[in-house]
Amino acid sequence: MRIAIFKISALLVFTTLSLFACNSGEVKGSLEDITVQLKWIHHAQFAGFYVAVKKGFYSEDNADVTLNSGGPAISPDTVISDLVRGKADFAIVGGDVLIKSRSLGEPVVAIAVIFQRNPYVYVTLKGSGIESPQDLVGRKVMVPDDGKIQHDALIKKLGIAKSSITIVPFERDTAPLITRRVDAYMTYRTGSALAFEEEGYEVNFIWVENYGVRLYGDTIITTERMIRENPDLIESFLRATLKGWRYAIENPEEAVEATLEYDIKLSKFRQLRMMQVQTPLIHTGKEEIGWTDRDVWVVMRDILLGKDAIDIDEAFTMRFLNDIYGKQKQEKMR
Amino acid sequence: MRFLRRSLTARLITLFLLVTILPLSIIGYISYLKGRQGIIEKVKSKLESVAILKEQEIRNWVEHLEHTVFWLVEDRETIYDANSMKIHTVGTPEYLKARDSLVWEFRRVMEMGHFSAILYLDSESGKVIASSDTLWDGQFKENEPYFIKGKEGIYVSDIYFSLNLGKPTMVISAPVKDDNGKLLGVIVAHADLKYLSTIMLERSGLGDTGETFLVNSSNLLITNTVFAPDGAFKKWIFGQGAKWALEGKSGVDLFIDYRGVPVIGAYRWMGDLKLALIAKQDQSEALTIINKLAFTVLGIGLSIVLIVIVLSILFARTITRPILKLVNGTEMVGAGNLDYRVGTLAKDEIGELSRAFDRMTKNLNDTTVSHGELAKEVTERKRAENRLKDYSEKLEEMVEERTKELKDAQEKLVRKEKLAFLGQLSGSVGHELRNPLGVISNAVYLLTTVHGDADETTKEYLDIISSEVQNSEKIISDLLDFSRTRSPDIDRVYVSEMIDGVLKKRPSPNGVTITTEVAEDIPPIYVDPRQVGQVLDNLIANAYQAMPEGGELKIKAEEIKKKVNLSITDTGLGILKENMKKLFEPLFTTRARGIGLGLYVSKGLIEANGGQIKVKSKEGSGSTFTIILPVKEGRS
Repeated sequence: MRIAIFKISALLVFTTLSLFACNSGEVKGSLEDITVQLKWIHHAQFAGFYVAVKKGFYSEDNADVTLNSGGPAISPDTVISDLVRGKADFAIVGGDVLIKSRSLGEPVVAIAVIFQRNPYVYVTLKGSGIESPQDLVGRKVMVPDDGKIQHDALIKKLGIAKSSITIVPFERDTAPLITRRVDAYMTYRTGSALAFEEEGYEVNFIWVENYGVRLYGDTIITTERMIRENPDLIESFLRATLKGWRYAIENPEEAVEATLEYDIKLSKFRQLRMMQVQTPLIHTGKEEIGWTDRDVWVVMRDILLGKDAIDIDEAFTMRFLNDIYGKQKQEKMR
Repeated sequence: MRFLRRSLTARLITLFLLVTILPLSIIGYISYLKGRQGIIEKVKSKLESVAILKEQEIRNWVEHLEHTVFWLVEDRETIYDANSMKIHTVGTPEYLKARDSLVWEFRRVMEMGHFSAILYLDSESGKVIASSDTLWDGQFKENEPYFIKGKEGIYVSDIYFSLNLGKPTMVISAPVKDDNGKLLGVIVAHADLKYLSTIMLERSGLGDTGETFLVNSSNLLITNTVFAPDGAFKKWIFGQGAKWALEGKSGVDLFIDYRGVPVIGAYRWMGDLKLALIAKQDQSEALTIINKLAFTVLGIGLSIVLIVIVLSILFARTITRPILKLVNGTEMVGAGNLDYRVGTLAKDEIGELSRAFDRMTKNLNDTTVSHGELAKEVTERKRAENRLKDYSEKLEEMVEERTKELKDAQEKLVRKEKLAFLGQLSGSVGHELRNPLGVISNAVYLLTTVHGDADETTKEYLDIISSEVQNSEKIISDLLDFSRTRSPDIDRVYVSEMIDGVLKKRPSPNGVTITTEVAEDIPPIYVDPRQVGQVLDNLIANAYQAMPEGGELKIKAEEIKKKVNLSITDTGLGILKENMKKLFEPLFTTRARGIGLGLYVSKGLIEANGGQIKVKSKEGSGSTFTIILPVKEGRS
C-alpha cells in the first residue's frame, strides 16, 4: 500500500515536472508543427520534402510539416529574417546565402546540404566557340540576381577583369540567347536550362563548379536557438527529409507525382527531367545525401568573404548528420 | 462390431505406417537436409569463388589502370612535355607543341580503352592545362582530392558521378615529376566503368536470379544488376550482405537481400576501394534441385503411404475377418445356436482359436442336448401331474356327483318306501274313516231333512258339519287315490263332453267367469275318463282356490302334433318360483288345509294314461296347467 502511494506520488511529481519542462521549451505538443521556408516556387527542386510529407516520413516522427514556397517576390534576405524571427523553423537557401548571412551576424546554421553541387551553368550555343568561362571575355552574359555572387567569384578566381564581360539584366526566357542578344545565359542547369533542350537547341553547359568555385546549392538551415533548444526535433526532421530525398531519387516518377500535388500546373515532363538532371548534384556518389564537408565550407568562405572572415565552424554543424549516418561510418569513409 | 473392426484395422494401419513412414521420413528428411546443406555449401562455395574471382578481376583492372597511369607519368615523353609546358610561357609554340604531344599521348592511351578522359593539371593552380577532351580545358581542380593527393603519389578515387562525363567514374591520378623529383603536374585519368559493369554483369553459372554488384560505403548501388537494370547510382542497397560487407566483413551466408528475398550470398569488403562486392543467388532457385528432389521423394513417400495403407488394410482383413467370424460365431452361439461352426482352414493362431472355439461349441452342444431332454421330461411330468391334478379334481367332482345321485336315489328310495308305507297306512286309515264319515253324512242329511224348522244356528252348524265332511271325504278320497295304483280303464272320451261333465259337477264360485274354447275338429281321446276327469276336476278346483277374489277361468283344448292339449288358465295369484319345482311332489302344499297329494296324484294319473302335465305360471298374474294326451291309445 505504502509503496503504491509512493509510486503514484512519484509519478504525479514526475508528470508535473515533465509538463513544466514541456512548457518551458519550444515544444508545441505531441504533434510538432514544423514550417519550412523554401527558396523558390514549388517544383521538383524540393521533391525530397514533398515525398517525405506524402510518404508520412515526417508524421512517423510526429511532425506536421508545412512547406512554404518561395519565389521571385521572396528574397533570400526575407527568408533569413523570417527564419530568425521564428516564422519558420527551417529554411532552404543557397550555401552562399548562408555564408553571407553569417557574415552579417545572423544566427543561422547549416545542418545539411541537399545540392552538393551548385546547379549554376552558363548556357552557350554550340558552335559559338564559348566552352569555358575564359571564353566569356568580351561577351554579353545574362546573369540572374542570385547568380551574381558566383559569377563574380568565378571571374575573380579566373583572373578575368569584371569589366571585360557585359552583364545583361536577366530574363527568364530562352529567346535572348537563341536570338544571340546575349552570348551566354547563366541559369540553373535544373531549371531554365532545361528549356533549351526541350526546345531542341544544341547548347554547351559550362558548370561554374568545374572551375574551382564550388558553392553548395540548396542547404537546410535553422537557427542557433533551435539547435540549442530542440535538437531532437531537428534530428527527426532531417532524418525524414533525407529519407524523402533518397526515396525521391530511387523513385523519380513518384517524386514528381508528390511534387505535382503542390502545384498541379507544373509540367510533369519538365519535373521528371529536373529530377534526372539534379540527381547527380544531390548525390555525387562520394558522400551520403545531405552530407557537408568542412573543406568545402572553408573554400566557400574564402571565395565569398576572404580568409578568416568568419568562424566557419559556427556556420554549419555536422552533429545531426553524424547522428543520422553514424560517426564511425563517416570516419571509415574519410 | 464395426468399431472393433475399424479400430483394429486402424491400429494395424497406424502401426504399418509408423513402421514404414517413420524411418522413411527420417531418412528422407535427413537426406533432404544433407542434400540441402550440400547444395547450400556448393552454392556458397560457388558464390564465394565468384566473388573472389570478381574481386580479383576488379583489382587486376584497377591495378592495370594504375599501371597505365603510372607508366604514363613515368614516361620520358610525358615528363619531357610536362617540363616543356612548365618552362615555356602559355601560348608559345613550344608550350602548345608540348601540350599537343601530351594530348596525343593521352588519346593514344585512351584508345586502349578503360578511360573516359585523361587530364593534365598544373601542379600549382590545379588548372586543367591539357586534356583528352577540350571540354575540360581551363577547369580548376585544385580542391579535388585527386589533385591534392595526386600530387603526392598515385591516387585512386572513390567512384563518383562526373558532371563533365555525365556518368559515374573513378579517377586515378599520379604526379608527373622531373628528373630532380620536382613536381610538374598531375595526370588525372577518369576510368571508364564500362569494364567494371562488364565484370559485375558477367553472371555465367549464376542462374536466373544470380547477380553480382558493387555497393559503396553509402549503400549506393554502383553497378547495374539483374533486378535493378538502371539502378546504378540511383538505388541504395540495404540488404544484409551489403550491411555485413560495409561493417568490413567478408564471408558467405544465407540472408535476406535488399528486395526482402532469402538468398545465398557472398559478400566482400574491398577496403582500399571502399566498395562492397555482393554475389548472391535466390535460395528458391539455388535449392530448386533439392526442392524438386524433395517433392519427388515426397511423392514417392505418399505413394508408399498409399500402398502401405492398401496392403495393411488387406493384411488387417486377414486378421480381422476370422476374428469377425469368431465374433459372429460367439454371437450365434450366445443366441443359442450351438450347431454353428466357425470352420476355418487357417493354420495360424486365429485358426487355432477358431477351431478351439468350434470344439468348445461342440462340447457345449453335447452337454446341452441331454440337458434339453431332461427338461422335456420334466415338462411332460409336470404336465402329467397337472393332468392328474385336474383328473383327481374331476374325480372328486364325479364322486361328489355320484354321491349326490346316490343320496338322491337313496332319498327317493326312502321317500318311496315312506310313501309306500304312507300309502298303505293312509289306505287303511282312509278305508276305516270312510264308513264313519258316511254315517256322519247320513246323519246330517237326516237332521236337515227332519228338522227343517230348526233354528238358524243349528242349520248353520249342520252346514258346517256337512261341508267339513265333504272336505274330509275329499282328503280320504285323495289318500285312497294315492294309496291305490289303479290301472286306467281306457275308453273313448270326447274332450268337450268330459269338460262339460266336470264343470257341471263343480260349478264356478261367485266372481269367477268360465270360458271354454274347444276346437271342433278335435279327435276323441282314449283314456280312463274317470281318472282324467278327476285330474281335470282337481285342476279346476285348484284354479278356483287361486282366485278367491274372483277372476277368469279359461279352459282350452286343441290338437297339436297328434296330441290333445287341454289347458286350464286362471288369473289368480300364480305360483312362487321356488315352489315350481316342488309342485308335483307329494305332501307339498301351500294351503292351510290339504295334505298336498292332489297334484302328485294328478301327475301320476295322467302319466298312467300316457300323457304329460305341465305348468306355466307368472307370479301375481295366474297359472296355466296343460294336460297333454295322445290322440290314439297310449299303452294299449
